[in-house]
Amino acid sequence: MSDVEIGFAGIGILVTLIILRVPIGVSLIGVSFFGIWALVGERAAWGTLGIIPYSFAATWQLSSVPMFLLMGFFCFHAGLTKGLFDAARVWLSALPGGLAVATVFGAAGFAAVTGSSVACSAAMGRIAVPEMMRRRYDVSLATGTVAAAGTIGALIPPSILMILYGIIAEVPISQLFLGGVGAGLLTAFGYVMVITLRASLNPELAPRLTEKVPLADKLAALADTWPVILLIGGVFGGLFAGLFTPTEAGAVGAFLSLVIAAVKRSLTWENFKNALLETLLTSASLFIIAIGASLLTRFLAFSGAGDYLSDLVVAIGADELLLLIGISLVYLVLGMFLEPIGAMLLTLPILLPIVDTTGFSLVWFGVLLTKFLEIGMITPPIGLNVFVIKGVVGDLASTSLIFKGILWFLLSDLIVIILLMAFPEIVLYLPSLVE
Amino acid sequence: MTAIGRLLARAIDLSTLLGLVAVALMMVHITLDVAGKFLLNEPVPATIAMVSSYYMVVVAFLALALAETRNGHITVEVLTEFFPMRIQKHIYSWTYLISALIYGTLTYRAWEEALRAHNTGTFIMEQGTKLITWPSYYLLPIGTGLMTIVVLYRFLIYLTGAKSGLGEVPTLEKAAGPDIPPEPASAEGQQR
Repeated sequence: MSDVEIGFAGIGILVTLIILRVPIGVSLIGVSFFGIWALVGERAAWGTLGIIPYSFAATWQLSSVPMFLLMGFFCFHAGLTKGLFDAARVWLSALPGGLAVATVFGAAGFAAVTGSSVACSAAMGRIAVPEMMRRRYDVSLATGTVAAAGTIGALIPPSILMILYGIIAEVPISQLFLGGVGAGLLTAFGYVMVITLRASLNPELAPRLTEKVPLADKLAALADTWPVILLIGGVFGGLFAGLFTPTEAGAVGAFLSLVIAAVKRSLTWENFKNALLETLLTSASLFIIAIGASLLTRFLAFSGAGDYLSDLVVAIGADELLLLIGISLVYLVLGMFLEPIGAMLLTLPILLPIVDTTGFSLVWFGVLLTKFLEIGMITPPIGLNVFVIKGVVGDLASTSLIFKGILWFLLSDLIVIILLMAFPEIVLYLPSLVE
Repeated sequence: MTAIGRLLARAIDLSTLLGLVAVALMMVHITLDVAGKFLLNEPVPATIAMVSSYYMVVVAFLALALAETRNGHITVEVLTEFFPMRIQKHIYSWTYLISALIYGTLTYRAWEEALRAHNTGTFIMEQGTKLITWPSYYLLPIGTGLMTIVVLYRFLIYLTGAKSGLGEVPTLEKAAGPDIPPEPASAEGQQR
């Protein structure tokens, strides 16, 4: 077998193991270890296995993952979402589908304190769905809105996906975060358009609210958003001004959200422990995969499979657009079945060498990739956000009813993707200001 | 068998406690460092080295076994979920053996590496402060070693049909997230 053949055989075995439900981390480590053994020999295999796991985990940059996770879990348990949603609700209630629009705004705000879309969906689902049901909103619209709006959570910074991408692709995390702002806001705008359009065309979906909220109440609702504004200002002000590293931003953010929760008396000892525990569990299960992906990168580099693929792409004369469409299709399909971070870590070692040969900005590509993976969170049959919402609403809606509500938002996402591809400035404008 | 499981559960409790402390300390330590840097112009010495060499190694490796007992490791069920429950259980249980082999290999190698670091007395210099880091190299094989034993134990429980003392989430169920009720797929999993 030639080296490239060993590389592809390795990928084949990897895929087989994974669909037989061997944990992704174990599959990656095993295939890479024996792959390097077959390619370069015993010494190299043992050497790599001895060095990479420790040196990958024991880094300052990677520690921003647990810190941002912790911040998100604190905010989630402290119920900081409610203030955001309430403010958006009283200000936007006059719009067609006002509550659903407020949900999107609330999710965009919560996205700025959490790095995962599942947490974002769960938090919004618990608050916004009962409110929409009380106003006789269409169940499919209400549940579809929270599931879709949750995906903004991983686009607007912080974003766990982007941190891991940044580390593997060696792109500054703050640049990715800034790039995510444009994509996140555009996504939110698209969702708002979908909701107002649907509610205008068919008012039965979202009955108009009739009561008038006095201005004093409206201002009071705004005052309730101070914790989130303080957090966002402190954390991202510091990060984007270059005062903080991402890790410091995450740690300070976690600490601030803890203080805010204490001041608001909304965090119990039980919740505090749960937040720590969830952070620990999520980090550990992500890191072992990331370590595996790092080993796979080594294995594939030894095999030359990446170069082979990029040569192939060049040889068949694929232009950049064709390549992008190809990558999009791969991720849309993968996203239907795989958990997003796993999907990203699995594919980056293969994909990055190919992307490197094009002239694409890696910041732009990272944001686009995040967007694709987030669409995967709401596409059937495996849509994690949908499952979470299903868990929150119980018997109110079936999974397929929620997927049905999401269809319209997917249409908007398709347009967003096309816009992001056609006008990379949407992503790259903010990062260019800081560079 | 049950007694071994209980013992393992205690070991996992201990490693979890260490993990929780590491997460909390990481936050406090970094925040103090930032506050010290900007307010007093006096950063906490060796923060970066402490965070990366100790807290991160604990977080990454000591919680592996805990995640395993909660079925928290990320897997793909695209294909297997279409199999009958009985077959799924067999397949899932045999993956424990594969995991044990890989984690066992990793543990063996990491232990060698820890001994090497110990013998050379590995340390990090950060702005004039010396931090000894060789002990942290032992954390890795401790974490993966515990993980190896746990998956091996789960495999043996499957083979022998003995009662498990581990207190783990059953093989065919998914663990729930924070306050989030289990997803519908797992509800089906319970009706066997």
